[in-house]
Amino acid sequence: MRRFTLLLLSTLLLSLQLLAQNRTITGKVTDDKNVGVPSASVTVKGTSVGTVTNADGNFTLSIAQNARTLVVSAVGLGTKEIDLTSASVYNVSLSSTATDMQEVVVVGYQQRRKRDEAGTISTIRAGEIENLPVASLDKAMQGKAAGVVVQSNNGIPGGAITVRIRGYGSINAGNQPLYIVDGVQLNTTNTTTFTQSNPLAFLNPNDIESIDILKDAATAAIYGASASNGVVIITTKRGRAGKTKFQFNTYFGQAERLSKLNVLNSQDYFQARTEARMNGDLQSSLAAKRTTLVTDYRFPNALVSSLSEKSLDSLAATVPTYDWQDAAFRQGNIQNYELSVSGGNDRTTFRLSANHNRQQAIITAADFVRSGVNINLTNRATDKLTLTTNVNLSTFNQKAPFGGAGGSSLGNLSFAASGILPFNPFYNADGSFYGLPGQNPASLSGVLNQNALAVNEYNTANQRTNQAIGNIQGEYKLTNWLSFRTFYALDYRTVETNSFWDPRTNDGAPRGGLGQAGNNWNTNFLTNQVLSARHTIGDKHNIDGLLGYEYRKEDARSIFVSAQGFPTPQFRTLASAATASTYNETGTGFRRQGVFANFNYNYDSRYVVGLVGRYDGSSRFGANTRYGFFPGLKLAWNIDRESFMEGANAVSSLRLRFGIGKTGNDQIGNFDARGLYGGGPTYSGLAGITYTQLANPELTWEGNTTKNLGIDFGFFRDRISGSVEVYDRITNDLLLSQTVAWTSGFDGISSNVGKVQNRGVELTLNGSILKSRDAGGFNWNTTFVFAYNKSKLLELFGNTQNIGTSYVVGKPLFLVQAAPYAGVNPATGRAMWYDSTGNLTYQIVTPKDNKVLGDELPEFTGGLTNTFTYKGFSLDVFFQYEYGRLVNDGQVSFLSEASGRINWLQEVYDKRWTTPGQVTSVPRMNLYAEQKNSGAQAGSRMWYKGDYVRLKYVTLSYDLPTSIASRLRLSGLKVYVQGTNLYTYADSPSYDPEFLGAGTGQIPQSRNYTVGLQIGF
Amino acid sequence: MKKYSIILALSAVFAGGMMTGCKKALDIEPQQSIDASTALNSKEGINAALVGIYARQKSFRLYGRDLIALPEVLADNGYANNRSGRLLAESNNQNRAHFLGDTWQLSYTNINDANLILEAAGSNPTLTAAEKASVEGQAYFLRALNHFNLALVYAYIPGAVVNSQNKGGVPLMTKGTNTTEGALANLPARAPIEEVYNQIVTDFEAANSRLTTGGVAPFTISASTPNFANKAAAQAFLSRVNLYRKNYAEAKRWSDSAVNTAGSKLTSGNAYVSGWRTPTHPETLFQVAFNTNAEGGNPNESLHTTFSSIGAPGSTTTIGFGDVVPSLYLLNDLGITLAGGNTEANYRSNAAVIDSRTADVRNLLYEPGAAGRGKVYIETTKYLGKNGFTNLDHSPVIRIAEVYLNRAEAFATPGSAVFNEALALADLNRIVVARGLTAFVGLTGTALYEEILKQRRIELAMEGHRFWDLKRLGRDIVKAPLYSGGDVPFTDYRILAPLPTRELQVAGSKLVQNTGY
Repeated sequence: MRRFTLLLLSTLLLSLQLLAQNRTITGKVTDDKNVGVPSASVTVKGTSVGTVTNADGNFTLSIAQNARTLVVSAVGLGTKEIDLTSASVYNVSLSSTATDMQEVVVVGYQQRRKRDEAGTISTIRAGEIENLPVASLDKAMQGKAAGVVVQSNNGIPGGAITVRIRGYGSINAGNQPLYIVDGVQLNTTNTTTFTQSNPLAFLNPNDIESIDILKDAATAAIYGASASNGVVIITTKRGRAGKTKFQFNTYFGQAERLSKLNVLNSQDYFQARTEARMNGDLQSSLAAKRTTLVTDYRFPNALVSSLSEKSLDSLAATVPTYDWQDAAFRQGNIQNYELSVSGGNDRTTFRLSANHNRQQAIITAADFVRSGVNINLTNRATDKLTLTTNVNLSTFNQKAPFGGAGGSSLGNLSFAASGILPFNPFYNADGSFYGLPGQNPASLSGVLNQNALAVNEYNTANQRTNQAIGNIQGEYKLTNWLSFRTFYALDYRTVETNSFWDPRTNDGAPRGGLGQAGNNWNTNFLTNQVLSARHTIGDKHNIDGLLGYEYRKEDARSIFVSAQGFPTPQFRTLASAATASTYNETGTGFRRQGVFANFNYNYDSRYVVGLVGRYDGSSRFGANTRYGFFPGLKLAWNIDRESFMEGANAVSSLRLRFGIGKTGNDQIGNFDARGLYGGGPTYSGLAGITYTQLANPELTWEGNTTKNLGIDFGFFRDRISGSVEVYDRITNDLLLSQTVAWTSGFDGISSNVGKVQNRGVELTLNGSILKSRDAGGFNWNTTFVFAYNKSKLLELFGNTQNIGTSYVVGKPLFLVQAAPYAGVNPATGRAMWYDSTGNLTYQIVTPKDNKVLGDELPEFTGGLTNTFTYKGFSLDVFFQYEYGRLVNDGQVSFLSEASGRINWLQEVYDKRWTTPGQVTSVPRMNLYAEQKNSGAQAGSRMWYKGDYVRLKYVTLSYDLPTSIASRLRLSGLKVYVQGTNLYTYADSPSYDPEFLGAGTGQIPQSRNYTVGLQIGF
Repeated sequence: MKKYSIILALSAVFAGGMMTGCKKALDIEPQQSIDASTALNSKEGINAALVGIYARQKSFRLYGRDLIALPEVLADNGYANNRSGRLLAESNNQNRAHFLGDTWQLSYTNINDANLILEAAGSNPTLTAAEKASVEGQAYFLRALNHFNLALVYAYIPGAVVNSQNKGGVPLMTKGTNTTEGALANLPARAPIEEVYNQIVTDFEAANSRLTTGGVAPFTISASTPNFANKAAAQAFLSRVNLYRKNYAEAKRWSDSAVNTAGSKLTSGNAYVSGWRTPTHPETLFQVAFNTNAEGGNPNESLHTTFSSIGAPGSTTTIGFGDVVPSLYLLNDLGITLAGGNTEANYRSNAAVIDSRTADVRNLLYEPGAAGRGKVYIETTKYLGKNGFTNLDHSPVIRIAEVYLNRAEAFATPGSAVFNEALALADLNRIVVARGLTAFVGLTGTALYEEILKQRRIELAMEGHRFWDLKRLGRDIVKAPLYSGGDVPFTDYRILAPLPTRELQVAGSKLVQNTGY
């Protein structure tokens, strides 16, 4: 701290010598089409002397006599350095294909030129994620950045997405990266009751200018205790000086299901169920068929008991099959409208945008509608003072499917549709729903006895999220090398939910209708005060740095009420209910504060050193151990700038980077360090308390130390470019619940124990495979992203070598262990496994017979983008892939049960054991679990490889030539067609291989076709 | 310009102010919890912690379901019909389909909470003498009850031990844990069976000496709300525990006390049946109460849905699953004859219709369920959402009728120190007459003894007794041919539940797993 002040002082002294005589230069900044670029930044290198271009791209600047280099940059056009001569006019042409090294990256509280930044940062630009029909930006990142694994939890529009940067470091604490939008650290708590929600769905992805992902701890350390899972910095689009530009953008299209599970028809099911009865109840085939037709197919006993076996078969053959999946799934549609207005003058720039997005889900009741506005204003009040504000207001509504966003609830359509016994009709003869309470029969036949179509039609649930994120910022130039920035932000969110179980449905009937309503408020306040400096000593020593303080305060409140007994189904609000049944109100919050600094030095842009440090405190930790220090060191060597590389023409850029740093994780419960008695239990009309957790006043950060070695390269004038990263990430002092004996009265104590390692390699390769010499010629660009990550649990606590079967010392996290499935005994049709000695067994002894099958985390992930352009046409083809994870899909498992209590997968049915001597992998049907036999789904049988390659999207677009556009008084016009999730190669028999979690009843993703239009005027 | 300087100066001051307020800046208190170090300093805190234990007893792994339903399906009373698939594996006595680790965890959590209450109440000046006695009495009662349930689930019962497979009783916890160091040092070992039962009896006796019949506010007890530990319940448990551990003199003594304390609670005839239609059966000495819809309500695991598919006697509307139904063998003992005969094939295949019943009023608590879940079985109607809501029933823990049967058995067991067949017959007849049957005359010896056990089976059916009754007597469980899992001889390892694997890992070699797991 003291050293830093000294440093600032010394730079201050040095700068005083530089206040020499000035001269004036002028010039024009143009783009590659020779059009003037407004709002381009023109500065003297190493100083904050600078200006921005006017609407025509012209600038005038007063510079010191000894100024040597001019730095010109514009958003989307990169940066260029111009050597200053005695000339006074400088015309600069910026090219949108400026090399990667010239680009600006956002590294936390400041923007830096990539060449001068030694950290490991993946940047995704607007162009890469534009116009994708996704509700949230995280989904748009899928496959774009090496080492950033994005997985959809399901296909609900606006549903949850899991983002993991360089694997899972933590077992019990969170693994979620820190998201920052225009400087605001977002509240990413997923508050939801009746559906899945995504806290990032508030932002229209098309309002995003860039996403910078800080992957290594050396860079992320500036965010200290919040940064251990990486930092995702989102910058929204801003206005530029010049003529006010209007842009209208729309796309619309359709969504359809990716696949359908092939399940049995009424006749095959009859056969399967009859076999189950014969094997389970030891009935004759005649008796079994009779029972099946009476109890399952609901034929009158009087009719069936008089028929011969042959007649029973003919009777069964007449039963129609109802395809519940076809009835459940529908064609969804997608609509998106956006209008943005941007412009400004030398002093003030603005961008206003409004968006409206509608996504109708492919299965009933999961629709998403969002409307939002985004306002960015910048005003240079004086030459020294710049004021900025960014405001995003957004409201989005999600219809919630019955049963939440997955699970085995009987009325959950995405679960039940494939499993409802196929002879159950949808409707009665009069068109009303079949099998509802009060009718005869009052339910469907089978375990899935609810008419899920009716349940989804009659029951309703909604979730509305209103979110306002705004900030104001004032930046004051204290001297021409030192400035002070004050920043205040608020992220305010309310989530309103309500649900109604209609009294006409099975779950609603016993309660006379159930109404539920909840509200959640979250206020997230953030402020930081930053002093930043930038200076060049001589002409080769470049220094910059900053010193800041930050405070974050988050408070959440929620209420939830339910009541039952409604007069008629038309009454759906709690006001009409007869009795209140539950009520709840909670409040919680946390605080964080920290002091941070960074210091960067480079010598002639050849040798780059960066130092980062943050001293951070969080209210979540023990009274004695709230604060921690998080340092980082970054080094880079721009080899291509060395004189010995001058002759190596093939190498256009080459640099070596190394970083080591430490970050922290505090993603645990707000009060986990405290010894607490919690309220909540009630008994006999009295309110009770219960000892919920023991105190650990020493509870502190989960630390994360990453070493990263990277090489950036470009060959043949960057026709081939890219980077390779190798990293070793060690997470220690894991925030784990250390298991204690249950006899103590507790399950575990919050502790800092255990160590996890993640090691990996990342490769990003860009190739300009075909590059035409003429504008408008044929170009082919390709980007290949590849990442390998492997985790390893290094240690736990005490003598403990494992937590359950998923965490074993020396093995990857999310380990899958199970007894290997040995198929079916050909003599009896019973499922068998291999025991620990390799012998066949009917009964698995766990954990003794467990074998490691693999783990649930993908080993290789990435994407491949190919872009072809010719004249105004552009074709984007993007594949993404995952390899090396195991999945166990609950849906598939349910549909493979031997009892046939729900419908069966055709594939499993066809392979079932029926006759002695038959060698197969599917056990015989049996109404009951086999005697002295482990469950048929046990062991490795239901684990599948989750590998897949998916053609994620193909976009064909056409830009109208400028000449024609201008005749139409337009500044640009683009039309495009796009398809997403067009083709998938996968091993597992699931609806969708991308799923995460149990799989049971999850709404799968959809295949989308959209048409879009983008007009500028 | 000056304006901006002022703004800047102000913001600098603001920032500086926050930095100096560093220490307070991170202070925030929880809102749904209170600090553990002071929570039990007040009378209200102690009372609330006691309520917390009772509330946990409602868990479906304890009295919410498992302690009532599992002793039925693991034995030969309850038959799981695979409507929802629940308890089917338990009904077939599959490997590890038994009481689960949660039962262990929840019981020991209750015991620790009771220990902390005992330690806090002892020195608490805000409690009056009566309140202190009430609080301590309840804590001893709950500690005894939870140790007893653990001993029943995980260990052999004294006098019925397969020595070659015996690994001892269960860990005894008589001191509270409230620090991380204490929790880490808690490495349990199994106490000898006798020691466990001695502790259980000592605790129930300590409860008896402190508890009253009417309770002390806020834990007041009436005939319709025996929701808290009370004197009669403690005595009744002493009757049961002593009978189980074959101390027949003590069983008799405490039965006498319980009958004396409870007064004339035994009902007869229609009053017995209609008692089951009210939330609290008048014979109940202690129950785990489920009062509000929010407390019960689990549509998959409540007593209601476990035992019954209907919502009212005589109804045909499908409400719950009715996963556990009386086995054919229980129907035989109940005196219920099915149309088509009490054969295994008829029982399993055809929709159940009652052809005839004996005069025993207890069989009026059984009737055909609804057709909405597949084949109709005879179901019990002891749990029908009697508290006004579907899935909301109190769990009967101990009734006065059992006390008479305990005493009858104590008199009739060969070798009993209080062996007296005449008195045994008198107690037996008190029950059978109250249930509408004619009194037995001149019954002696094995016939008398077996009749007492048969009446016990009928009387306490579907209330969570059968597995323990067979286990304590060392009897084989005859389940074939009805149950596809077959018979479970007393020497079979599945008579005992597996100790939770994680507990064995934490405790290391000190804690020994039951044989066979």
